[in-house]
Amino acid sequence: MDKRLIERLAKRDEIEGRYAELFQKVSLTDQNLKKGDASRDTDSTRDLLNSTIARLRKELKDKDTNVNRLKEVIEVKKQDSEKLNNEIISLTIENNLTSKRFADLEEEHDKLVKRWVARVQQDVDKLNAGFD
Amino acid sequence: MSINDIRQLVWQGALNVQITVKPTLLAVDESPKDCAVNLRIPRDIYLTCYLPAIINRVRDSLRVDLDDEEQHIWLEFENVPLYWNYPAGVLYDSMIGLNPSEREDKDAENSLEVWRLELAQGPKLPPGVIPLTGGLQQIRSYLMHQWKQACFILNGSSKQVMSLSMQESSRFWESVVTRDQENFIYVANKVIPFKPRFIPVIIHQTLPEVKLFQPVTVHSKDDGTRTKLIDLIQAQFPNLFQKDHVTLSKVVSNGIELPLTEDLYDLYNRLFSLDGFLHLSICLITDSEYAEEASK
Repeated sequence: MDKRLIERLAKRDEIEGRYAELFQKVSLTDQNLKKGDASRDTDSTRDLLNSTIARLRKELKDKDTNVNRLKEVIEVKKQDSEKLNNEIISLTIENNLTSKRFADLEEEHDKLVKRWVARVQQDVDKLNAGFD
Repeated sequence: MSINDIRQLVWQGALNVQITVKPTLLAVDESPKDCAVNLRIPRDIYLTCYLPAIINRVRDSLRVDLDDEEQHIWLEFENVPLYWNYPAGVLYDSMIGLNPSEREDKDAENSLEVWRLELAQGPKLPPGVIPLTGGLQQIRSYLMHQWKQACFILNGSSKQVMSLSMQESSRFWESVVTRDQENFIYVANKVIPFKPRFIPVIIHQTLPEVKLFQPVTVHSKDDGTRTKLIDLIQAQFPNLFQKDHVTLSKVVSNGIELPLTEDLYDLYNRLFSLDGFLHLSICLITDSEYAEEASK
């Protein structure tokens, strides 16, 4: 078994190790794993730049937070506007229905008035005929 | 050829890893390729040990502050977050679904194997990713905790790890950091017995979904015979490894295909990872391999 495993591991290393020189080996005990490297601590210009970058990043973060907050406000407003639109549509439909009913009632009313006038006319005609 | 030769190859295995940054984290005019970090990372170490080195290299190209304590940082492969608490090689094998023989077939003199990862940051960690707040010290505690678990599985108690002296504990961690295999094996040998009760195994399955199994694996069966890899795998995945049928999958560990008929504890002794567990990945066989198997 050992021979077979060694052969396979060697083949694996051959494949995975190709062009390994293009990939940097980093030691976990290196100074570059500490926050910032040595050159940063000694170079005052670099320090100044770093502090400016840090300040600008903080400002950018605040702006990003603000943008996100405003996006949320816009989202809520959008929902409000959608709700209002829905209400307008439902009220328009209700108005249309009421208008239709009003027109129907008006028509019925006119008919009734016409019938009543015709009947009164009939009565008047009968009365007049009696006088004659 | 001895067990030590295999352990040495396991310990020395390394991957070419390229880490880029999510475009949303980059400053204006910076492209992910310009600030890519190419590292050679040992297979048998936690990826997250290299986060400080990666951050130091990309820091100047970012629009965000990676030291911000309200934000979390993690690595992703094809937009899937990586669990830092498993060794790099294990994540590589399982996440890409490595099929060693398929890779060998495609391999050419000038082919380059690179694992491309992405650095991500956000206010919330993806589900399942352990928050990392204590840096290397937290990783050290985690590693020792894993060894306590492995020790308990092997011996029925964690006494061997708990009774390590301060000096030995430090020596153990130093051996991981400095990649000193001799010291690592020296301490590991104090924990690993000649005849264990159970074997610490973790099985990683990526397809059809990412799943982890930590089966109870006995050293010897009821009839006294020692457990073989095929026994464990058939019990765990009866559909993939059917008896007297063509197997649909392979078992991979440390980037190589494992012979299914081998004794499991022998494999453990040779291929265990830095956390004291034997990590196995399940990969599906290719169509041509299936046809070849079926014709036998």
